[in-house]
Amino acid sequence: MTDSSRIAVEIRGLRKTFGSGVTRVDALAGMDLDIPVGQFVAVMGPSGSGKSTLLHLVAGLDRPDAGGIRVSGQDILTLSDDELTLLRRRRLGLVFQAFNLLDALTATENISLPLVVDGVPERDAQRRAERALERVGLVQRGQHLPKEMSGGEQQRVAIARALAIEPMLLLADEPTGNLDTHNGDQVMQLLRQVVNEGQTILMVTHNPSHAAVADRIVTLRDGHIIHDRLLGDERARVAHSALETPRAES
Amino acid sequence: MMLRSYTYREFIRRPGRTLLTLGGIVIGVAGVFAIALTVHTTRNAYRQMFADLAGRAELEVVADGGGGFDPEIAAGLAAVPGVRSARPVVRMVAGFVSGSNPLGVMVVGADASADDVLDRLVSGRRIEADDEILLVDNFARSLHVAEQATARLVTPSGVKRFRVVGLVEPTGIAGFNGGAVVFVSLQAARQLFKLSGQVTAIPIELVPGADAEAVRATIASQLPAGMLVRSPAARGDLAQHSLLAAEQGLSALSAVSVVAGAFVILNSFLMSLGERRRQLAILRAIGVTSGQITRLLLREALVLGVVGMIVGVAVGLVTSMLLVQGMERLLGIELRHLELAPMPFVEAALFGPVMALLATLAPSIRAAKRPPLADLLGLQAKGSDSMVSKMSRLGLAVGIGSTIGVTAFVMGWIPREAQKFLATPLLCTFLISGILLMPTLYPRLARVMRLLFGRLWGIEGRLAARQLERNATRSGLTAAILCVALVISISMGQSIRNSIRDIEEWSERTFTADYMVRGCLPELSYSIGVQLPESMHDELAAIKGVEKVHELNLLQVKAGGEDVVVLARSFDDRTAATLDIAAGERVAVIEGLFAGDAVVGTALAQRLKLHIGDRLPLRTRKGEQHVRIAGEVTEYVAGGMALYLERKTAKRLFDFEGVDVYMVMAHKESTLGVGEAVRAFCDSRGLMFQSNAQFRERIRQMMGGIIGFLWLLMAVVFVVASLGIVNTLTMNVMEQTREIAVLRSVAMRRSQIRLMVLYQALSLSLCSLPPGVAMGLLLAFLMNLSTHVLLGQPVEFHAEAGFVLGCCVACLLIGWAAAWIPARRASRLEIVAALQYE
Ligand SMILES: Nc1ncnc2c1ncn2[C@@H]1O[C@H](COP(=O)(O)OP(=O)(O)OP(=O)(O)O)[C@@H](O)[C@H]1O
Ligand SMILES: [Mg+2]
Repeated sequence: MTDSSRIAVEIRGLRKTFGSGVTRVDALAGMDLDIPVGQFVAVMGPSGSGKSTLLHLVAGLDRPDAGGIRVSGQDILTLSDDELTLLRRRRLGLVFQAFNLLDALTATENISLPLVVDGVPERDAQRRAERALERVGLVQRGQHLPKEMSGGEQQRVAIARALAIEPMLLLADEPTGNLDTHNGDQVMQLLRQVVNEGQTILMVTHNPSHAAVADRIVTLRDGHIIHDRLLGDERARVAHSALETPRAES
Repeated sequence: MMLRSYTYREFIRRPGRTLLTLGGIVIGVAGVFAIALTVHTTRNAYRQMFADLAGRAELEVVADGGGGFDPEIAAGLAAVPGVRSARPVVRMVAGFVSGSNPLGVMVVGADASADDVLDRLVSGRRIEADDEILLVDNFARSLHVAEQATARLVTPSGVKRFRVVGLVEPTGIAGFNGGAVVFVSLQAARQLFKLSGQVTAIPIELVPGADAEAVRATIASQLPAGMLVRSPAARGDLAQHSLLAAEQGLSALSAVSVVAGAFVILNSFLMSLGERRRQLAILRAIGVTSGQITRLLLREALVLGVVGMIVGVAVGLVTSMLLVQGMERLLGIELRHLELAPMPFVEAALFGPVMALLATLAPSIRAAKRPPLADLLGLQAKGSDSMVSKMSRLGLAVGIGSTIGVTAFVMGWIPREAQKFLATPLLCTFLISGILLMPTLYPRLARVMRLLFGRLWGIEGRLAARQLERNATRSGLTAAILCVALVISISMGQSIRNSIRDIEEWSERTFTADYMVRGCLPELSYSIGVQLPESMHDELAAIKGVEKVHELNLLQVKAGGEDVVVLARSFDDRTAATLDIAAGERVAVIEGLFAGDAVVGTALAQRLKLHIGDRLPLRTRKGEQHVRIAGEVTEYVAGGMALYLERKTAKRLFDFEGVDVYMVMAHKESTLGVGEAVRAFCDSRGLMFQSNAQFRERIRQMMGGIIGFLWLLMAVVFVVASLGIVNTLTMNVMEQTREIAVLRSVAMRRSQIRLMVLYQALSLSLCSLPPGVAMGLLLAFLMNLSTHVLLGQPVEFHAEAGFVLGCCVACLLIGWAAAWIPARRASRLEIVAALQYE
């Protein structure tokens, strides 16, 4: 039995195949992975190893061919499209490599959008958006449009948008991929900081030094986990709960 | 809330797209609104004209077929319960001599002491003698006729002089047809129109609160044979036959504007959805439900619908002013001001938003249901293929359905009452099916075009073709806009031009007289005609060089329950030869005419299901009389609801006095001098002289209004089409930004880039030509057939190569011109910035 209050994400036998015949690709070939609450997991691996696919499946943006995904104990594969939408809206924060802000909206508006859509009164949403902006260090940029900001700033706004809903899980696909070293480091610092405040993060990255900021590095190849190791303090912490937290090995 | 301001900003961010969508709505709303308003105004003008004529009277008693009757029945009518007054009057039309042409005026002869009109004198005094008249204030002023001036009237007893002794306000009866009313004493009127002791109408005023229907029934039961009681405004309905053709044309036009408008909305909306795919996917990814997206998109459409409606009503008002002017010219009556009835406004108010919502409903739902992942990652959308195939399946179904419908229509399987309502929807569905099929058709056409022109165009052309094929659906939809523009111009143009040609041919055949002498300008519904004295025949015949003089009278009568116009005409071998016989042996038809038979217009024959040898019941003052049908002719008078009678037969049946038109034929050798002599004769009497050429010129002028309208329509559809091209090409250029930058940095000159974009436009226009021309001609042919069914008038179909070619060239040129803006934009690109473009 798993303790759902301690496990943020529970993945069992996850399988996803694209194409058929000669073009068939097993993006995920039966993967098991558990992420405890409060952990910062970095996913690494060569291009095409299935990292993004994994993230998309967890975010409910795509459906697996086999296996199960539980997000804080809830089997998301049984959810309808609208229920998945609600899940993303209230519980999952998404950060993309390409920022994906709405060009027509200011930073504050981009951030408060999911809240407003969810029925949070506009004033409250605004306040929460401002707080989120503060967390990412961009208070003075609230009224700016995405095209008026640098890539690093845009990505921090995107992170603020993800954080504003107070998600139980933050999913980030190469959040530093489009950024230079300085901006990338800044974003990583930000992510580390929110994890220290209790946030769970599943992040894909190609950058080993960025991965080193995480608590745990999962390495994929051809849709399998080939390596899974804990870093620093986390090793000690997890050792205590090893018995109740089954972990994928390979 | 925020999604709302998002909507607003999306409009601002894409002004071109927003304007195009708005343009579509405006076209639809303006078309429907302007046409509804025009039809309403015209109909009402006729009703109002006759209602004015009766003044305060709610009923009137007249003789069947017009003409005089004994006023002694008035006493009996006054005694009917509910009747306040029943005062006999003479109301006849005369020509008012003024300037070059006499004007048709209503002469009202009433007992001076009795008529309340005389209480409304603006200046001068009442009539005291039989050579005195009152004029309506504004009418007199517009003709610069002052009080105490002398005026001449053309009447059946000749041209008579009168003294103007006073002016009255243009209200009530004096408001008839813009104040074209002359008041004389009852006695004078009787003399002018040779009505010894008779009158022509008894207007009946009711006691307030009396039941008009009951009074009418009582009066009807008391009237002798040949007399009838009616509501004055009902007379305007007689004019409706003449209006039917014009109204049919207008309603087809409003249908076309709706389809074109809806299609433009759909097109620009689909494009904007395509552009915003990623943005919508982000919304979905962060937790906006598909229901919310649908509502967001529909709200955008609704906002545009409301704004489009407001602008559309404004544009529609201006358009209807032009249309009303055209109708005035066509009908020859004064329509006064626009009739701002509430119905057209209500229709427009509903129509704009509803049209916008309907056109965007399906794509909105589809867009909201798209799985967001592919769009987020910028992967090629796989949805568009299924949409295209769905569109083409729907298009095929609609096409087959409308073809069956049109066939049923043309074959006459549809009941007459339904025909009027079906013609327009059929036209719409036909157009829609073509549009839906276009995206499927487009890639095939594009391939052919590339094979044909690829070598000529070089590398720029090949790159252009590739970009178009990359977005086959968008390109297809743009080609479809051009295609619709072509279909509309070709079909409307051809059918209008065919009808006009037909009318001109008919007038050429029918009006063979060298000169015509009339009392006033003719008016299309034949409600106002001036009678000339019968004695004028001999005077005209005496002019040197005149070979023959014929008379023509146009009478409104009831035949087999329908309102028809009788063309009472003197025939001989030469005039008989001008009949455009549609059924019957020429010899037998002519013999029949001389023997007292009728020759009916094809529309009338069709309406009453008449065949040669049948007997047609005519209502006359001597009761119902039957005439034998000797044949059928093509006839445009009163929309074909007309019949020819030999003049003597008509006189025997309807007992009228005076002549509407004298037709003068000259001896072959002396035509020129004769014309001068006849003109001098007319000038000296204030009559209207028309040579054959002038008459045709007048018909051409009447048609001029319609032709102007055709140009207006073509201008509108091509402007819309060019907007579509600007739209698509701008989008293509934006998508290609990086590619263009690379091309510029490695090889290409600005002009080459420009050419690349221009070739895209050219290729789109070329692809729209084959289906556009084919559908346009087919539609013109179908419209031609349906005119026959609707109006009972066969119109010969010609496909004019020159006109069609002109439309094609216009299409190519406009495509090329519209491409200049995006082409310039592409060629002016900042290379470094564009290379970093994502
Ligand atoms: N929509 C798709 N259709 C077909 N194949 C896909 C699709 N998405 C992913 N794949 C394939 O699945 C495999 C895994 O893709 P994925 O995007 O998860 O890799 P990744 O690890 O994120 O790579 P990268 O580091 O380059 O982002 C790849 O081989 C990819 O080609
Ligand atoms: Mg990836």
